[in-house]
Amino acid sequence: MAFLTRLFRPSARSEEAFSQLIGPHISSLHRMAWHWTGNQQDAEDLVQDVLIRVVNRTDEMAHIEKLRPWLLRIMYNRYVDLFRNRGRSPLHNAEEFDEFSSVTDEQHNNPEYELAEHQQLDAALQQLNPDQRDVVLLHDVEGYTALEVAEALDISVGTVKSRLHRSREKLKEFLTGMEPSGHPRRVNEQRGYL
Amino acid sequence: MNCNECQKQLQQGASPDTAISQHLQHCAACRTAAGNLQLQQQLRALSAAVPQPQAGFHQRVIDEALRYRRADVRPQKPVWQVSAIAASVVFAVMLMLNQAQLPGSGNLTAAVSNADIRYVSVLLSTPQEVADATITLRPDSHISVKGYERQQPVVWTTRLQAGDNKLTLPIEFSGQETGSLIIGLEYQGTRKELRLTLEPPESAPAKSQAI
Repeated sequence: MAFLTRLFRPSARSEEAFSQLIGPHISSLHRMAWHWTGNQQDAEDLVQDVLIRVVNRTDEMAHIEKLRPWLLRIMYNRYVDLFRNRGRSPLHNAEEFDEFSSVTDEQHNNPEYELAEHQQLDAALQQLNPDQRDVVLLHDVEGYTALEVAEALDISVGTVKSRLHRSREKLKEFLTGMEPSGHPRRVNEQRGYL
Repeated sequence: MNCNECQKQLQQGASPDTAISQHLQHCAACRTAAGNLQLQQQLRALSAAVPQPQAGFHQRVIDEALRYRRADVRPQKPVWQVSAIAASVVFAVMLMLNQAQLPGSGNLTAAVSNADIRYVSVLLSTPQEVADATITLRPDSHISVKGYERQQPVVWTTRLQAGDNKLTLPIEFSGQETGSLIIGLEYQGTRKELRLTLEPPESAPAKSQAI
């Protein structure tokens, strides 16, 4: 019996193949997971969930020409199943904001302005319907090609382009109504305990 | 300057010089293209703001997947639903308006863009992780949560990590009336509420509110 267990145990070579196939895509999966869930813990859990679901499909993965959109499609379906019905949480924990702030500090002269701009962009993205938002996040934010987006979301390239066009117009319209001032204001503070 | 030249220079990141500006003034197509380009640059910057996963994340998720494979375990539920969560949780909320600074969080600030909008930061502190906390926002008729105007109340479920969780809300005022926002928190049958009085921008005096 022990012999049979060993016989059917995945080989070390297969495990190495899985690591090599999936490794280069973990960062991009995590980034999209974060965009979708808006939460670091959920993003990491979502990526973990995807890897567990594909780990027995290593042979199939080895023959897939474009692995990135294939993986993304699996993650997107899992996201819809697990998260979309709950609605995207606009909650960011303090640690994430620290990292967020350090990025803007390094890259921009006015981090307050940039932080406000990012918040406004995020608010603008929430104005889009989920289908439009997904296309913008994948194509304009994360740089996926229109073909990759089409494969990931199981829609045509034409649909991707038309959604992009409508989404950009809507975003521009929304953003023109709210420009960040970047000027500090007087501090008021309220504290309370639940 | 023709359209091709103008759009090529804009894509190369050229600052709008006189020639480009003049062209944009009378060319609607290039103005649209310039607007799209600016929007795409702003959106691409959002990518840089994605926080890095925890250290060792890549190897950890691969190892965990392989462990499932070796054990031939088929996940029926999301992995994170398996973990047990302590029942007793204490919540504290601290609310800051505009440029208020979070304790120990460096220069976290929120600039206000629109005269009718005020950014309100709420800090939800919990000693232990809460997997499914339901947060409810009930603004009165004088204010609304920007982006969620059609939702009343605004309700969502989220995970609260142990420690501080910051929620930044763009609150829009419909006029000069003082607004009221009720923040509710629900977890495993426990409900807690906090009512906040929010002054519209410009007219807000420094004020402490004890709950």
